[in-house]
Amino acid sequence: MTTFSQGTCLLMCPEKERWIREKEGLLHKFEIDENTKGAKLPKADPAKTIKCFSRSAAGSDMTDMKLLRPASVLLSTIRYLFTKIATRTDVDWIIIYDFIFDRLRSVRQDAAIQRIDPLMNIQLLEPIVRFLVYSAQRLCERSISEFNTIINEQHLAECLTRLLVLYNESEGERNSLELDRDMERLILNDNRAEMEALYILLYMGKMEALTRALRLPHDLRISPNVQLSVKISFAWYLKNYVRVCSLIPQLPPLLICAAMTGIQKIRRTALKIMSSGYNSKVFTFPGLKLQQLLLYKEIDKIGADCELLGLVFTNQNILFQKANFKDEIQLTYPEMYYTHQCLHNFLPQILLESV
Amino acid sequence: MDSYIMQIRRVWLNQEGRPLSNLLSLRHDHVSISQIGSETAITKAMEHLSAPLDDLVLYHLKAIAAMNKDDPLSMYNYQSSAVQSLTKILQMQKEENWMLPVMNTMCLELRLLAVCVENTKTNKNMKPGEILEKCADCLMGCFRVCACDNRSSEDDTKRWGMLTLVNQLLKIYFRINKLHLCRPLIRAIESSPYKALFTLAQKITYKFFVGRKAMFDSDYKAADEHLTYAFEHCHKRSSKNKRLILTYLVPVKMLLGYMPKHSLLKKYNLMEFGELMEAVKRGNLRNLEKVMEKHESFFIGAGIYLIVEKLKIIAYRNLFKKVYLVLSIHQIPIQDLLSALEMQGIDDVDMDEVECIVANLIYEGKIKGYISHQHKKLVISKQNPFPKLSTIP
Repeated sequence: MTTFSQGTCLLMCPEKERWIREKEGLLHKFEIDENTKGAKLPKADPAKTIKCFSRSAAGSDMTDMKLLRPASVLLSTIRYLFTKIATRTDVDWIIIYDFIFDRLRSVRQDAAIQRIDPLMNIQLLEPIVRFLVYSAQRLCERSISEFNTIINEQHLAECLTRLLVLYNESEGERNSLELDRDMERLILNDNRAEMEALYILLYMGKMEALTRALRLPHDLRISPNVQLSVKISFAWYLKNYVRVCSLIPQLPPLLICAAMTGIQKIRRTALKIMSSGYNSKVFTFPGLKLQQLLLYKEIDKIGADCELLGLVFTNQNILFQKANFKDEIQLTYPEMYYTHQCLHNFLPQILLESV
Repeated sequence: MDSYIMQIRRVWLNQEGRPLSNLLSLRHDHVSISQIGSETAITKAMEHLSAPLDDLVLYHLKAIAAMNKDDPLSMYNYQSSAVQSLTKILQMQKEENWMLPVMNTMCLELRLLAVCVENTKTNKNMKPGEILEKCADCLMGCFRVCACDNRSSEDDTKRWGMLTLVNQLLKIYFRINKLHLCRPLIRAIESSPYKALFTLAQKITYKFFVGRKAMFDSDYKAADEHLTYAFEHCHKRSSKNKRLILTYLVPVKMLLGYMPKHSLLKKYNLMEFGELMEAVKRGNLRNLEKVMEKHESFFIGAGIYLIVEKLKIIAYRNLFKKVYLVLSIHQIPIQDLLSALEMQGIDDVDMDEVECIVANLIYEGKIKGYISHQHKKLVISKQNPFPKLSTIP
């Protein structure tokens, strides 16, 4: 097996790439030197420029050590992105998302090429997972041309599955006696409980995720976040939408963001079940009650969802009729759970610390 | 030793599959011939055998040597190389399938070795399931050769070997919890023209796994069908296997509304289900939860915890039916359903949740009627408001 040595690039961006992008005018506005802002070809600020993601292509040597950043630099790159970029308020957050998304991707790539040590890799992947979950909530109401939920989900699934595999592997070597390793592992377990909970919520009611949850080591299974998430997932497994929605608000913010990625499906399924259960030509169901049951923020959204699904919404009441339900619609409209301001205030803690 | 080599040569030239499979088995008498794994013996064998058989025998003898040194990992590795050279031989043999018994024996032993290595875990750097995954790759190599052999006539095609391989692979995938990999295998068998003609033992194993897969996919009718086939055709003296099949068949049947007889559960020592069944029948949610807690490790270990969880729905249905029978009215106050739950000691449920549970039961056709939210009532149909579970499509 080939062994890979450590990268030697100690800046967030290799000098060569910075030089090329400066010359070609390919710098992001977050990367330019403030003093040269108006210039035709602005200069790069080395403290702000970050290596872009690029696919491996013929002729490009991906394993050039000069172009790869060692783990510590990757970690500080993430920290920089979350504290200095994610928190900016002067630009639309979608621009921030696009920038961070791309740069995190190159962080993952550098880590993969160097085959970074599993414990270190875990430390890199955890914040990336948090960012993707957080963004899923913050941008959920954006149009598809601005924010592609599916791509975000794919990346999230990729990072999370990798993470779970790394956790499983690190379990095997638990009997090492070194003290600092033990300390590291203590912190590791703390974050792991959060990540396991996140996985359970993202795959709410799914057999594979529940099976994994049931077989988690005891200390993780009894962690409050995991326990509550398992409870929610089991409730959804039996399509008990009332219980699911009454438990979700008890989760910490990041986990709420994770659970809310499924809300469009939950609402759609709930409305379908209710169309059978409350099927009537006369009796209506109060909109305010539904708002409370299914965690709607705006009652108008209920109206829109009813219309989408073929149900009648009059005087803020819903007339459930089984025959009218449009089966082909798989999701209701998206709706944010938190306000923008509220979500903004969660930064950067939500990204950098465990909840 | 000499006679061993002579025998191998003879059965190889005569194309006698079964005797050859014995001579290449790690569980046959010849492994105890003294010095069979020694360097001299191997050299001698190589002198007397020609390609492509020599490679196969070489790895087989090395595997025996590793066995005598009690080193399961190298034993596995040699067996794996042996199966790979066998795959090459199979690939070269056009229009003939006499080697299939050899393939069956060697592949079975490869899987058993992989399981053995996983269980002993001598090497700390090994990931759990790693060897089994490698074993699956190796078996897939054989499987491809068999599955692609569609030019040979029915008598000579290696496609007859597909089902044993699929069964080996299914065993592995279930063990390492990679059920999504089962689907292409199942599809290959379902579309095979020989589907109905494989041996009964093979079909039973296959049906057992396909049934479990269907159960995992929440397709309970199909699960019932496959598992029932496996149970009914399984030989009555293999009660261990029958019990194993029942572990999955019983909860599936219960979910479909058929409660097993106590005598059956007793016969196969599956009394965990007896308690479960009582709770479900009586609609006692509290007891159901208690039984699930009590036998949690059994249910999780057997991989049926999630299906047992689904029995709660049946228990709710049975409880609500009781309330209806007691009240014998057609407009049942939701409050009375809630009280029935509270009487059992269930205290974390409210009116909204009861309505939700009832809505689900109506949606699934387990109750005929509708809920009036304003009046807080469940209005049930005058005719057959609680249809027999087994009649629900």
